Amino acid sequence: MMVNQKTTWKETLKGWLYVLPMLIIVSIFSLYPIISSLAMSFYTQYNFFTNQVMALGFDNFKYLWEDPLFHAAVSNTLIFVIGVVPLEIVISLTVAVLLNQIKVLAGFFRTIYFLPFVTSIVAISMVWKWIYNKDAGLLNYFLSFVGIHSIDWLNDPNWALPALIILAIWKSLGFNIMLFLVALNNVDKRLYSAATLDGASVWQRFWHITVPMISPMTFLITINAVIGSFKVFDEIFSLFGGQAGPGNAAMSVVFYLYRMFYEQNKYGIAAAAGVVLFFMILIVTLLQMWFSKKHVHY
Amino acid sequence: MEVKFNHVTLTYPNGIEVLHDMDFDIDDGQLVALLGPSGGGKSTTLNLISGLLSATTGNIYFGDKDVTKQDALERGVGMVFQNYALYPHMTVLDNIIFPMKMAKIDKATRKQRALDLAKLVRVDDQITKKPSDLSGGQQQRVAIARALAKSPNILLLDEPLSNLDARLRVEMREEIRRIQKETGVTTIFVTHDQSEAMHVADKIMVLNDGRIQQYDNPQSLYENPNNQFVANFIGEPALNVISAHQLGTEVTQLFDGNVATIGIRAEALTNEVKEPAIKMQAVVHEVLSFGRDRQATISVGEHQLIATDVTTSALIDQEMTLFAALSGVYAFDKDGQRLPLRGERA
Repeated sequence: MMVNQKTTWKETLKGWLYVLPMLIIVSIFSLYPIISSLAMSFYTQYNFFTNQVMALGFDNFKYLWEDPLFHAAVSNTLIFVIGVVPLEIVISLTVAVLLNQIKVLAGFFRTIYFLPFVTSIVAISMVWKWIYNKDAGLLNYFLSFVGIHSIDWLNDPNWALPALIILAIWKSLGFNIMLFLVALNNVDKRLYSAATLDGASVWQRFWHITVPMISPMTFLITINAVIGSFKVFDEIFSLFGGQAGPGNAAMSVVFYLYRMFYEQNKYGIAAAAGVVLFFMILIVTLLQMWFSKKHVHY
Repeated sequence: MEVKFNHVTLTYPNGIEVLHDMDFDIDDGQLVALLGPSGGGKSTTLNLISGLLSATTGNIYFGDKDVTKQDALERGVGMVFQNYALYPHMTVLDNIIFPMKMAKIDKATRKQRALDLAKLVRVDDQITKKPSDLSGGQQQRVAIARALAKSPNILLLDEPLSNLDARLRVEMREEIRRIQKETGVTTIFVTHDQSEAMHVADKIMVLNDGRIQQYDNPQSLYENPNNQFVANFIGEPALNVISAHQLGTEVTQLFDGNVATIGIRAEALTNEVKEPAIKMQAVVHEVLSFGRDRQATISVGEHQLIATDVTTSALIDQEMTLFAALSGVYAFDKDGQRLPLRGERA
């Protein structure tokens, strides 16, 4: 085929044939579920087992609008995102910058920080349950040194969400540190020499060179972290033994969806919660994209 | 500002001495080229001047001030890196402003000065662009403007022209000279291209094996090289080298000392009668013309020579007498040191 020839229908068809296998898989396992769950969110009377739809409408969304538990789920999810993402970015960037400075044992520390990422969340939660234990936990033990009285992390509704946030940050560090290290290594070292000669201090070099130069990676990590945090479920499930925390204190949107679907068999409402979550993520991601136009330097 | 090296040496941590007894003065306001092959020590010397490397022994002075222990920032040098190292996320204007911003010069002043510098290096119509939108030559200009922004004592350029294509290279070397003359800042640049150095510099320091081979103005470097290395390195086409025994005692007795090799400049060789000159029997194989240049391939015994002044009237592939003007003939001893003409000992 010549490059300068006009594409013919035959060739277009041939091209589609090449992508057809993947297209079939994507259609069955991604597109179809997305469309049917969107449709399901409008099923107000529905038999899941016979797939019979008796009535359609906005009642599911109305239910969510009025359900205080869903309100709690949304606000908990937002608190979780706001609590996790910025700290996650700042801590992992700090650790990555420090790791980038040391020459000896850098590989060792990288491995240590990466371990949470490759460990099963169930195992992690079991360890953290002990750390959070009111009487025998490590965290309370350390806090006692600075004069803070024992906190019942896992059973006090006020502390369930903070406990969850700490766990989530710790778990995400390894992978983000790895990504930041890659970005830091890709910054042209000569820019630092130039900036040093231009009179920039260590902090100024970080602010004027490092931060803008790694901004594409920061953007990627932020988007990834925001989406991941909005979908928080397995950390809650395993940390609080299949519950949404004491008195539903750690109820998230996905946990709400799970409960509606599997425990209460309210499929329409579960689907509607999924749709709401989708739009929440979409809006935040669009905001980030808009922000990145000005502040991310490719 | 004047730069003075007082018996400076540099030894790397592994114990290898890479620069030996550097002792020279660079006068205020001069444009000096550090010329030599890779690994000759020219970039190392530049880094010693900049303060990015510190001398193992000896002293470095800027004017009357001993700067041996000072770092790059304290010495106040401006540097243009080989790849320019412009900040890719900043506009041209912000790049030029950056050093002044770090020096906390007030906003209006630094902007005005940046605009003046942009005008000086002729990028004033590009100031809102990012470096990646500029051509190589324009990036080079911005890098020079940024280096000049903090009014440096000395401007250093590391291989400033190596990333440019041939035509731009000629243009930029003239530009570097113009900018240097306009600002009057003492400028030192590194290059491995002898023609670049010859065209631009007020003085050239030829470096090889971590030693200064010769430090002189371009013309004397060409006409009066200290040793075989300099004679070989400077000039295009390269110096023709013939072993002394090929030319016989008739030639070697002209020089004072034990002649091992004779070097002949390509333009000194001709088929027309010339005095004073040395004569030799040679065979001309080919005379080619390229525009205004001419180039003849000649053999003298087993030696292949290049000549640029053999006329097309020369007989091809026949033994004939060629003349080499004595001013373009150098004799070297076995260590490559230049030997003077007999009775002309300096």
